[in-house]
Formats: sequence, C-alpha cells, structure tokens
Amino acid sequence: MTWAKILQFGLKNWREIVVVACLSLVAIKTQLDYRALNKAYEISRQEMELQIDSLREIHAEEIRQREEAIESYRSAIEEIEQNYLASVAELEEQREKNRTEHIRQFSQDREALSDEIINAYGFELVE
Amino acid sequence: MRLLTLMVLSLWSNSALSEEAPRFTFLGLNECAPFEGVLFDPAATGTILSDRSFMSTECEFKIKYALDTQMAEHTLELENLQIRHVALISEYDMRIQSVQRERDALSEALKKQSKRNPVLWVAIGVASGMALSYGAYRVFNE
Repeated sequence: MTWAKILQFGLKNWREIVVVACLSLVAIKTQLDYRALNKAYEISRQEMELQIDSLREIHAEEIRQREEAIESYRSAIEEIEQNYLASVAELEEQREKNRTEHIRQFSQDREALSDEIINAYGFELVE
Repeated sequence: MRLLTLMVLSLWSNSALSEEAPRFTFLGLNECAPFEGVLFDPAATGTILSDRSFMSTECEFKIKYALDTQMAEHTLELENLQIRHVALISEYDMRIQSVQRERDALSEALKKQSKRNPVLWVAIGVASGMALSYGAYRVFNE
C-alpha cells in the first residue's frame, strides 16, 4: 500500500522530483569542490608553517654561527693585544738595558761610546 | 695575569726611567767647549742612542699589531659574509623543497579529484546534457 502511494506520488510529481535531484547534485558537487579547495588551502597552510619553522631554525643557526665568529674575533684581538704588549715590554726592557750600558760606557768606556756615536750618526769627535 | 705582569713591568720600566731624568743644556762658544752646541748628560745620550737602535723594531711591532688587528677584522667580516651566504643557500633550498612538496601534494589532491578517464567523462557529460536537454524539451512541450 505504502509503496503504491510512493509510486503514485512519484509519477504525479516526477518533474519536481527531477528538479530537486538536480539541485541536490549541484549542491553535492559544490560541497566536493569546497572540500577540494579547503584541502588545497590546508596543504598550503601546512607548507607555510613548515617554511616559517625552517626559517626560524636557519636564522637561529646563523645567529649562533655569528656569535661564534664574534667570540673568535674577540679571542684573536685579545691575543694580538697580549702579544703586542709583551713585545713592547720586552723591547722596553732591552732598550733600558741598552741605555744603562751607554751610561756605563760614559764612565768606563768612552771610546766605545764615541765609536757608537760616530757609527750611528757620522759625527766627528772633537777633544 | 700575564697582562697584569706586563703592566707592572711597564710601570717599573717607566719609573726606572723617571728616576734618572735625562738632561741637556746649551753651550756657548768657548764655554767649556771648543764650539757652541747642545750638551747631553749620559742618561740623555743613552736614551738617544737606545731610541735610535730600537725605533725600527718598535715601528715593526706597531705595524704588526695594526696589520693583525685589521686581519682579525677582515676575517670576522669574511666569516659573517660566508655565514650569510650559507644561510641564504639553506633558505633557498628549503623554499624550493617546500614549493616542490606543496606542488606534489596539490597534484595528488587534484588527481584524487579528477577522474582517471577524462575522455569517457566528457562523453558521458555531453550525452547527459543532450539527454537532459531533449527530456526537458519533451517534458515542457507536453
């Protein structure tokens, strides 16, 4: 009885049923397209997040390497300064010894002193 | 500690010099000398002779210090440029790989969406369109 009524209703309103079926198909297709677009958007979003994370890692690594380079530079500068100061101090010590030797020569070995002045500057000794 | 030692040594050296301050004076003609001129005491003479002997060495030390400092600065600059270069290459590779992955994923998604036999589906679409058009024509002309 029920199936007969449904069949009768379908035969009576088949045009409306076809229109509703077509509209349903369009709606389903639209939904599928929306899902496809949403999936594409999701893929792009995930890739963008991955890119941001990778950029952060690369940037952190770059900063770490730069800090290492600066640290190495500071150590090199410190070593250069220490070497320079050591050389200057040693030179100063030698200069002081040399000066003391000249003072000694003045009182004990004037000939050597005069020879050195003559050799150094080419001056003439006048007695 | 080493630096402190050097500073102390340097101060000691300066104080040793300041204990006997070199002196000089001017002499006139026949003023205890056969000609006029400048008289240096032994400390001043020693200083002049010593300075002359060590001036070139001191100059070399200063030049070496300046060159070493400059080399360290240039090395730092070069390292920074190399680091930036490596970072840019990594960034470029990462972007390329990301774009490739995105392209592959989108292609895969598109393949799932699209049918495997497009010719067949085009034919079905055309036939369906024709049938629907004909059906509508028949229906609405009843």
